[in-house]
Amino acid sequence: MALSHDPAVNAKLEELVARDAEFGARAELRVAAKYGKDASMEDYHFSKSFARESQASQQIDWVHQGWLRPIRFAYRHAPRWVRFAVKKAAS
Amino acid sequence: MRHSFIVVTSGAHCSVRQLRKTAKSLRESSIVPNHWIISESTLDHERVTRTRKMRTSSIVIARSDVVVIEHAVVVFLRAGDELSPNALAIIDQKLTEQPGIDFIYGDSSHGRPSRFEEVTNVRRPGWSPERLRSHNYVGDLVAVRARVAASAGGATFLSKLHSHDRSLRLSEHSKNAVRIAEVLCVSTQDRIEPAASLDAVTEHCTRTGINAECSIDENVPVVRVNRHVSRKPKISVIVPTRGTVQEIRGKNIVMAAHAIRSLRNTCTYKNLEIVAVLDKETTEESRSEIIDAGSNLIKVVEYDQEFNFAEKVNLGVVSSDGDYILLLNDDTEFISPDAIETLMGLLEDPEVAMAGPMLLYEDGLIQSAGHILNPIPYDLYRHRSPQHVGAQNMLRVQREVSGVIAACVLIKRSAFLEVGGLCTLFPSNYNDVDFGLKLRDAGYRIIWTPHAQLYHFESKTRSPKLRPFEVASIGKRWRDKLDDDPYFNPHLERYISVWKQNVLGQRSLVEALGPTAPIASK
Repeated sequence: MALSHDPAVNAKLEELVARDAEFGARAELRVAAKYGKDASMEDYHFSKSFARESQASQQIDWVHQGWLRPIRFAYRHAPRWVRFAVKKAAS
Repeated sequence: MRHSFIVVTSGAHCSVRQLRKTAKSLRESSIVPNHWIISESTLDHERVTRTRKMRTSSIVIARSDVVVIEHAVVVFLRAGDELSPNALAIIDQKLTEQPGIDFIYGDSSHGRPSRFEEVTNVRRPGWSPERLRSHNYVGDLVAVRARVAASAGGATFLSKLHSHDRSLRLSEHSKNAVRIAEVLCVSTQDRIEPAASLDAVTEHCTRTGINAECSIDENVPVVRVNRHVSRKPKISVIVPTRGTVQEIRGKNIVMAAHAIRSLRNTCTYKNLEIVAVLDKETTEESRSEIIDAGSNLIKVVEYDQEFNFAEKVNLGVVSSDGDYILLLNDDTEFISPDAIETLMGLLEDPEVAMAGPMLLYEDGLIQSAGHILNPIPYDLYRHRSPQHVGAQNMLRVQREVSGVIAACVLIKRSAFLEVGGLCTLFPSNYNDVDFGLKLRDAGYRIIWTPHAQLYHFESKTRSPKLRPFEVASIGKRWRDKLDDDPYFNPHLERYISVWKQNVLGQRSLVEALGPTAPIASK
C-alpha cells in the first residue's frame, strides 16, 4: 500500500523494504542452519520487560514488609562468619 | 601445530617474592613457555631465576628481546601475577582454530579465597576499541602475535610501559582482537593510575589522528575522550508522533512539541531539519503546536496507515535529506546541551554507524545504558540510579554495544539506507534491536555514551506490551546473535539487566527464585 502521494518517496520506501528483506533472509538462513527450520523461542523467558507495572520498582516491595525487620536487624548485626554461612547456605 | 610462547614481565619495582610467584605459575603451566623475558631485571632477581627449579625447567630466561621465531606468541604478564595453568593451552587452541587472530585478552581472577571471601572474577566484554580509550578494560595479561609486538615497538620496550599504554599501542597494530571468556591469570594487586592512562590515551589519539580533548572523569578513574566535531553537517531529526497530550511534571503538554522545543532550546547544534511524521489521529491543536514549536525548521509528513513505528521512521527518513539522521521519540527531553555534538563526534570514526545517549526516566533513574542481549534484549542498568558507576565503571565510559534504544539515536544516512532502515515487521517493539543487529551484520559498530543525556518518558505515548509475533520474529532472524552477544560474557547471569557473575547456571532468575523474585535488587 502506498504510504505517500509522492511516487519517488514510495520508490525509496520499497527499496528500503527490499534491502531489509535481504538482510533478514541472510540472517534467517544462518539461524535455520544453526537451530533448524522449526526452532521456536519457547525456551527463552521473554518477560513483559517493557511494561513498567511489572518492573522491579514494585517487585522489591516485599523486602520492606514489617515482619522482615527483626530478621534483617539480626542478620545485619550477626558476626561476619554467620552472615557468610547464611549466604553460602542460601546460594 | 603448537605455538611457542614468550612471556614478558617487567622487573622494575617488583620484589623477589612477586617474581617467585610468577615463576612458579610458569613452571606449573600445562604448556611451559619457551622464554621468559624479565626486562629491567636486577641482581636481586637472580635469586629467583638461578634457582635449581628454574635451571632444570625448559624456560630460557632473558633480559631483553630474544630472536623471535615464526608462530611465536608474546604474553605480557605483570610480576606478581600468576598465569592460570591452562591459559597458554587455551590461547594456543584459539590461535590454531583461528589463525587470523593476533591479539588476545581474557578474564582474570582477583584476590585469594579465604573462609570469608571468595575470589572476584573480572568478566570482560568482547573487543571494544572505544572502551579501551577510556580504561584498560582488557586487563594486564595480553597475548599477541610476535609480529604485532615487534611493530608496536618490541616486547622489552612494551613491557616497561603502563599497561593501558601497552594495550593501546598493541591495538593500533592488531587487525583481529578477541576475548577469551576464561580466567587467564590470577592477580592479587590493583594498580589504578589515571594520570598514566590519561597520558597514554592522549598519545594514542595523537598517533591515530583522533582530534579530541582527553580528561579524567571527576568520580571514577577513567578517561573521557571528547572528540571535536570537524564539521557541522545538516541533521534530519525524525519525530514520529500522533500528537499525544500527556502529563509531565504536573503539566499537560503535547509531547512532540515539548521534545522539539527542548531540542531547539537546549541543544547547541543548530544545523537541523525537523521532520514530524504525524498520524491521522493527530488533533488540530496538537498539530499547530508541533508546527509552532518547530517554526521554520519543521517539515510535516502525513502518515495515514495503522500504527507502525518502523514505517513512520522510514517515511520520515526518505522525506528528509540530511547526511545524518537523529531519531527522536516524541516522549523525550534533552538534558545535555552538547548531546548532539557528543554523538556526532563518535560518528567521526568511519566504522561507527550509530551512537546513542544515556536515557533517564522522569524520576531520574536510568532507562537505558545501551542494549545487552542475554539472551533477550535488556536495557542495561534500567531502574538503577545514574550515580551508580556500574560493573567495571561501565556506566561512565563510552563503549561498543549491540544496540541502543531508538528513542534518541544519531545514525549515518548511508548506513541507514544500506541496511534497509527499520524493519516494518516490528511495528512497535524490537525494531531498534533488529536495526542494531543489521548494522553489526553489515560490519559497523554502535557506541553508547554516558556523556550525552536525555529524559525518556518511556511508553507514555504507546502500548508497552510485548507481542508474541515480535518475539517469534526477532528469534527467527537473530537467535544466534541473541545467544552470543559479544559485549556480554557467557559467565554472567542471564535474564537480568546488570553485569553480574552467574550463580544460577542456565536457569532464569524467575525460575530459580520464583515469581516474586526481587529482580531489581539482584
